[in-house]
Amino acid sequence: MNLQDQLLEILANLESLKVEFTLIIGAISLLIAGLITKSGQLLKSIYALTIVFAFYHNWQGFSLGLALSNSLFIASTAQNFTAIFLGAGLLILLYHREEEHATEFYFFILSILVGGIMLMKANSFLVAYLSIELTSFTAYIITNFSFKKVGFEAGIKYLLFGAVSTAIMLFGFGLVYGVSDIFFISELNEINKALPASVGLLLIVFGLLFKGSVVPFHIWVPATYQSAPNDATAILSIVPKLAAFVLLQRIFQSVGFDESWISTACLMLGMLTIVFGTLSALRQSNARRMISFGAIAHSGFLLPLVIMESSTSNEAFWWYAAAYALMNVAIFFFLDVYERKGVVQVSDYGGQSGTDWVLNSAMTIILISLVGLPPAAGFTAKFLLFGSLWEFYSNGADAIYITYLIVALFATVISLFFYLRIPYQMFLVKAETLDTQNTPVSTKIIATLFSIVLLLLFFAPQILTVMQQLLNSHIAYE
Amino acid sequence: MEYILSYIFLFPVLVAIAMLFIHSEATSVFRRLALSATSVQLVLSILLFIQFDRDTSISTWSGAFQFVEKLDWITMKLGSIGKLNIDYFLGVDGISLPLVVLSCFVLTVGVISSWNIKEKAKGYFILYLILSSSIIGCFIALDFFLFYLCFEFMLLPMFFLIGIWGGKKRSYASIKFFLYTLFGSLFILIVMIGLYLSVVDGNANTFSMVRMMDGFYDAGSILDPASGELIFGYSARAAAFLFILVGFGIKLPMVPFHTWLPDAHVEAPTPISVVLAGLLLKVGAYGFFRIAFGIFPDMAAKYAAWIAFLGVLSIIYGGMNALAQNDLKRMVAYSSVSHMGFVFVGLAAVTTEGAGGALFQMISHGLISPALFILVGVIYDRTSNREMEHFSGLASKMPVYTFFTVVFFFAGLGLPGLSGFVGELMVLIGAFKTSSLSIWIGILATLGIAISAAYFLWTIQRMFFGKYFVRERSWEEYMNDLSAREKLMLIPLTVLVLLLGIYPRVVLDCSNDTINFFVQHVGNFNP
Repeated sequence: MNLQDQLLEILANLESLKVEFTLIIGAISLLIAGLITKSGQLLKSIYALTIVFAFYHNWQGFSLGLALSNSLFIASTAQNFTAIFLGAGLLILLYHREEEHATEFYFFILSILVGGIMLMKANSFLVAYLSIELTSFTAYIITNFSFKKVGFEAGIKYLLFGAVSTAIMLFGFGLVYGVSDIFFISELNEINKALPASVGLLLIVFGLLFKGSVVPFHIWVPATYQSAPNDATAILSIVPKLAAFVLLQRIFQSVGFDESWISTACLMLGMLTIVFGTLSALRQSNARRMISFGAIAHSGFLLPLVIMESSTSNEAFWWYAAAYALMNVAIFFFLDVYERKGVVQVSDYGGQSGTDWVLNSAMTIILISLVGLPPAAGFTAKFLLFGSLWEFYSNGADAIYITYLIVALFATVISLFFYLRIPYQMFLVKAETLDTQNTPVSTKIIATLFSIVLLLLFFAPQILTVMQQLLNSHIAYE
Repeated sequence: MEYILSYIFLFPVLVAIAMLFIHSEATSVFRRLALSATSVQLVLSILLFIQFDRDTSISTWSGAFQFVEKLDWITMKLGSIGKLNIDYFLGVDGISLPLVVLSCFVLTVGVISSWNIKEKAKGYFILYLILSSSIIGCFIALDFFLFYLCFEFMLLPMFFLIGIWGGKKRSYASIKFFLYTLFGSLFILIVMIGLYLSVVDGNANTFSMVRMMDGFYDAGSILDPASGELIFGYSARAAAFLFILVGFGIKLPMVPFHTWLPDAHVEAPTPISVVLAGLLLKVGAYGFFRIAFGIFPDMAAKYAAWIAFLGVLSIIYGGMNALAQNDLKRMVAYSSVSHMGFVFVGLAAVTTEGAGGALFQMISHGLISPALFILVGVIYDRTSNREMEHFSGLASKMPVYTFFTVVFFFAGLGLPGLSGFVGELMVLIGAFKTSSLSIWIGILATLGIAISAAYFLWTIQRMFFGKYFVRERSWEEYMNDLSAREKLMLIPLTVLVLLLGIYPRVVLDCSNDTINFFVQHVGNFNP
């Protein structure tokens, strides 16, 4: 192939990066606009416009398969999840944000989106590593965007753990490359089964589990989620986690080591995550920290969907991830609203009884959904998870899947206990001093809409699958 | 009246939604709306009762249901399972029909009993109506998913109703109630998914309980009786049956899973105790009829002796506990545990008398226990106290109250001529007649009746006879006899308890065919 053909091919393949390009162009224009104006409205609209354009490009679809000399692998999963990320990116505009530092903030949010989307498409180890670093570095910075000492602390903590984990991951890439001469995820099926290569693979998986906040790689999560601004936390709890899980799924599919010890180890860690996340949440007094531990437990619920190789679990993964993203955007929105009223600790919610039943009831519905009780989207998500585990087990898989199911079940009961603490304070405890501040009507409307959407997704879960099909229908299959 | 079941099911929810838009200051509007909603339900259910065709020959479960409504609800493509099909599928047979009528009646009584709720009335009645819908939904849903939805959705309103309007230790009681029953219902969820993956309707998997009861299993699937799949070395069907036993056993409640019940009852406000004892426990028992015995007849027949043992354990243990209580409401709560044990014994006998008696006992207890809780509420409303030793000789001061208490205590201990007698008698006949149960089951169950006689009579003697005495002087002025509202609730209950005691065919006629088929269905598997 001569140089001209190569160049033409690269040019044609660049199409698969159009979403990232849009986001980067948007980010740069945001920076420029930030030099000229301080108007939050304008900056927000540039940000929104960028996301909408990116969404449009994503909607148009890509040609599937390898691209750019095998360094990217475009799969429909990546495209579907890009839609989730962009949706979450758009929804955080609903959060309250001061004009100060708006430029930098939205710039970093766009960068983290680029990193997350690239990570899902990565095929060569280099791209995977670079995109992980892109999400990580932006994440370190936006953790600190509350400009308080705690935020700084959490940012440094995150940075240290993150640096170690990426180093470990890099070591894993090196081992796999050194032993098996493999540089692409799509070639991992040819990996030799000798110990060094397996260890390398395990280290790569560990790096991704760190991003997915799976125990014992979760240590950064509570502090980060607690100290970052709420809109940043929402994005942090969605984008890096889901992107890492999507890549993990690709690795598992590519290696095809369904019965190997690595997948068993992952499942064990997943169960540990569920148990640890749930039990730790019980002991928290800070509301946001409690929800963060809940989010850790949710990683444990998502993990088996990534590991199981069945089309049911694939669909369930999409459903759970979309519902999870929506629930997280909603819950951090509520926490933000309450925190700005000065309600930070779980016990502070007692003062909210009787003030604003619309807001309180809507928050209760979101929490019920996070537990996984009907009639809310969280129930359907867990229902699909349990269904996939059952089905996979009954098709002859290892008994660990049914154990997983039982662990998940018990954890759900226990999770009721801590998620319910907030409604318990709101409705059942009579506080001495009642809060009398009024919430703006717009907040109430948004809150109601969030809860209605979560209820609607329970009564018509097909909405999400239809959405996925619509997204997929634009993909040109090669 | 094509959609009569839907009207009964959904009408309260619609009223509840309408209530959302009414200003919360208008306290009395809510109770009137709630009363009209449940009254409409009651009228419709009586129409249903009249129109029900009592003379049918049933040969399959799909032929057993009347007033069937079936619509597609959720159809979703789902990977290798193919399609997730959930139907809006309603229907009643001879087992569920009496329970639907009972529910509508008790719910109406519950609204009258809530008449004095002034604090946060809007929230109270909205939750109450949501609860009404989900209770009815449990009895008429024929799609397992819909059933499960209603079953779970009872928890949340109940949690708030106990937790906000309850007594002193209400938060402890409500959380305990929520955790226990959620724990149980997740066991049911697991079995539900397993059944969905195993049962087919045509080519597609289905949640239809009718197909499940008729046993249309996909050959070789995990819960197919013929495939004999194992989970951790145990038969998959036995494990599923055990899960169901625990799930509904917590709801029923069956000893040793009963500990939430006394707490919940003691802390709940009177109307919620009425609904809890009258209806929620029946949902657990109904689950045994429909799911444990209906869908797993082979396992039910195999483990009948164990179920009967658990029933007797509940009867004796609940009775002993009731005997030891000093709090009147706690005593009534434990008597509920004891009386629900008879349902277990009757079911485990797998005879027409036994199963019919179990159903009759459910209906009868569904009338007696609400009345008992209303009677406890009478004394508690007046004095904020219900310790038995604080009262004595009430008969001289409150003769009408004493009259009703005596009637319902006697109904509870099984005096002939009142409904409790018929149910317990039928259960005992069933237990003695069947060959599959040891004779000791019947003997011990009879002993249970003696225990209940002991605690009821002893209470009457301690509280109502003898010299008039109340603990605090300040209570004196409140010790008036029943108000018109209280009589309005108790008189219909008394009439029904008498009617069922004298002429039990009101219930038995409409359930007879279904019960016969039920017994035949389970009896086929008798070892």
